[in-house]
This record gives sequence, C-alpha cells and structure tokens, in this order.
Amino acid sequence: MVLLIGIVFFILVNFIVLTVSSKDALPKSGVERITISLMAPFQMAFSRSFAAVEGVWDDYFATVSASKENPRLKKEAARAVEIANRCKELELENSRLRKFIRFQDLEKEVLIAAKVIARDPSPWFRTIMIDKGSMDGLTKGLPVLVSEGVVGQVVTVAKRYSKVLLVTDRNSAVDALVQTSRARGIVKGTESEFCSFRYALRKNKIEPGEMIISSGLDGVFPKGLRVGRVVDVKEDSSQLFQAITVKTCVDFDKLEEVIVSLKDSGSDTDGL
Amino acid sequence: MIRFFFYFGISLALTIVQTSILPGFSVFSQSFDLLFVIVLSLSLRFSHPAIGVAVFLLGCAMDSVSGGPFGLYISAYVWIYILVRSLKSLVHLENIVFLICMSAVAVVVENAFLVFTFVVGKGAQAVCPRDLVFMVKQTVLALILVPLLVLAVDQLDRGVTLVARRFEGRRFDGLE
Repeated sequence: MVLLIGIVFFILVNFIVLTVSSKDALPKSGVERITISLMAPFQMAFSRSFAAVEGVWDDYFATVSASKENPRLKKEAARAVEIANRCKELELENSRLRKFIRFQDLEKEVLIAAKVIARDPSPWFRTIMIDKGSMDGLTKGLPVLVSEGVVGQVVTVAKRYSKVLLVTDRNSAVDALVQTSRARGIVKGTESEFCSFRYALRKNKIEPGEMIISSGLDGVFPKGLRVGRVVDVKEDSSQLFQAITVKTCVDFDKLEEVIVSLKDSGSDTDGL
Repeated sequence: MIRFFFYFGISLALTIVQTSILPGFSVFSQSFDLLFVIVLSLSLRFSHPAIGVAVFLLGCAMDSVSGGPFGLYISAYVWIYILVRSLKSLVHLENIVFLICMSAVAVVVENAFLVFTFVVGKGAQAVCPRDLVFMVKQTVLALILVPLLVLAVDQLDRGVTLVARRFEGRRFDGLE
C-alpha cells in the first residue's frame, strides 16, 4: 500500500513539475547554473582544441586560395574605402540632423564578443552556450547578434557562461517588419530550419526575397537588425493573415562567435 | 572506484560529443540522445540504489545544457531506469532482444515526455506530423545503434575492470 502511494505521489510530482516547467513558470534554480558552470569548461576546452586543429587545416587551404584572390580583393578594397568615406559623411550628416530635430533615441550600447562553446544536445530545441556570463555583465533577455543579423536572446546566465535561445527555436519570437512595405508581424521559430512570419495582414503585399528586420517593439532587439528573407508566401482567402516562410540571414550551423548587446538600461535582471 | 571514474568519463565524453561535435554534422541532426547508452548500461549492470541518484544527476546535467523545460531529461532517465530495473529480473541480462526492445522503449519514453511538454506548453497544434516522422526515425536509429553502443561500453567496462584487477594483483605481489 505504501509502495503504491509512493508511486502515485512520484508520478503526480513528476507531471506537476513538467507541467509548470513547460509553461516556463518554474523559477530558474541554482542547479542549472551550477551544472552549466561545471560542464561548460569541458565543452569549451574541447571546442577550442577542435577549432585549433581545424584551423591549421583550413589555414593551409586559405593560403592557397588567398594568393589567387588577392588582386581581385585589392580592387574591391579600394572601392570599399571610397564607399566607407561616403558613409562617414552620411553618418555625420545624420548625426547633425538628429540633433537638429532633438532626436532622443540615442541609446548607449556596449557590445561584448563571445565564443560559441556548445550547442543543444537535443534536435528538438535550438540553443547555444557562449563563454560569457554574469561576470561580463550579461543578464537574461539580452539580444545576441552577428554582423549578418539577429541570433537570439540570452535565457540562462551562469557566472562565466550563458545559454542563448536561437530565433529558430519554436519558443522564440521576434517582433519584426518587412523592410520595404513596413508590414508588421512576428518572426517565430518552427520545427524546421526556417522561421515563420506571423500575423502579417493579407492587405499587405509581401513578395519572396523581401527582407524582414527587427521592429524594436519587443524591447529585446534593437530596431533595424536583419532577421531573414521571405522565401515563400501563401495567401488563403479564408484566413486573415498570410502564411510567410522566412529563411534567417544567419547560418546557425556555422556560428562560432557572437556579439551580445549590453544595453545601458531596460535590460531584465532576474536575480541570476 | 575505477568503475565510477569510467562511467563518469564516458558520460562526460558522450555529453561533449553530443553538444560540441555532432551538431556540426548535418548527418547527425536527427540523432537520438546518446546518454541512453549510459542510462541503459547502468540500469542493466548494477542494482545498487545509488544508480538511481546517478541517473537523476545525468538527467539534471542534460536538462541544464538543453533548451527544453527543466525536468524533461530527469523524468525520461528515471522512468527508463525504473522500467529496466523492474523488467530485468524477468529476463536474462545478456538477452539481446531485451536490450533492443529497451533501446526503442527509451526513445519512446523520452519522446512521450517531450510531446507532453509541447502540448502542455503550446497546445496540441505544437506537435506536427513532421515531428512524429522525426520520432520514428530516431526510434529506428536507436534500435540499431543503442544496443551496439551498450555492448561496446560493456566490453570497455570489462576491459577496464580486468586491467584494474591485474594492476591491483601486481601491487599485492610486490608487497609480498
């Protein structure tokens, strides 16, 4: 009888904990941070050794192809200098005009570079582990980026390591808009490597190839960052919204370094 | 003691392989959870209650490095341990059919908990037919590979134990 009560109690506790945890209502425990702190050094040591060996191999082939690419790149570099100069002029002009119209949205930003040391062990979830944590000023909810666009946001912070939820994870959502038409929607992760752009009204004409950028309205990602490109649009006359498939700008399989944007204010601290 | 370090080392190695090597290869994108090998090996070979704690800690480690809801891996591993422990008294431990069946059951148990968390967290529409195909593929893959890996770990364990005994024997001879 005692055994039966014990089993029923165990099953009940098991399913209650899983239910609460699935709804993201379970407070982050110290156990998770401690385990990350214990596991991550091994993962980091391995991924660095692996990268070093891979680097030697890649360097050899890179040197061979670099000698062929060099003349073409010199020409491109000269053109880039010219464009950069023009951009600098535009930046100065922009700054002058912003001051002129008393633009208040000049948010100070500190960027921190981090290395990807591990990925999610489960194919069902899409997270990565980075080698920066609370000691470097990271907090939960900070945006993680690369030059190509949005990567995701910090979800768990340990002392020296953090876990990042990628935009392709099905629990992820980014408030976004279409760059040309400014049609608003939400980029959500799906079960595939593509994302879906949801809640875009049918009245907004959206074509494949258009760029989706962050709107900045979710309070996590700064405005204007590239999220992905529209690859497919399906319009159903019985539906209010369009079904849009988006391919992310970032190739998550080749992600090695990321940038975490530390905002001066407004970041969420959960006591981790 | 040597066996504790052996299983600890294997578990750590499999976790690193699963988080740092396999994600880099698209061929392994549909791979099953490699720690099933350790959970099944421990549950089949040992009867000490401390194994339950070890299995719980393994689940804890996986829950921490994974993006899934906390408790998913703990639940899956502990239930696999309970199932194997309850059934192993009914069959011969070397029975390969039992090992194959338990490998498939392990994947099904973990995926059942996964579906439960998806449905509770996001509703029934969170699970699509593509997910079910994926689960079937994982189960088929585990049916073939998990028993082989469990047998490999078993052989390694025997080898390590044998070496440790010989080493102990030599030390004993030296003392005489």
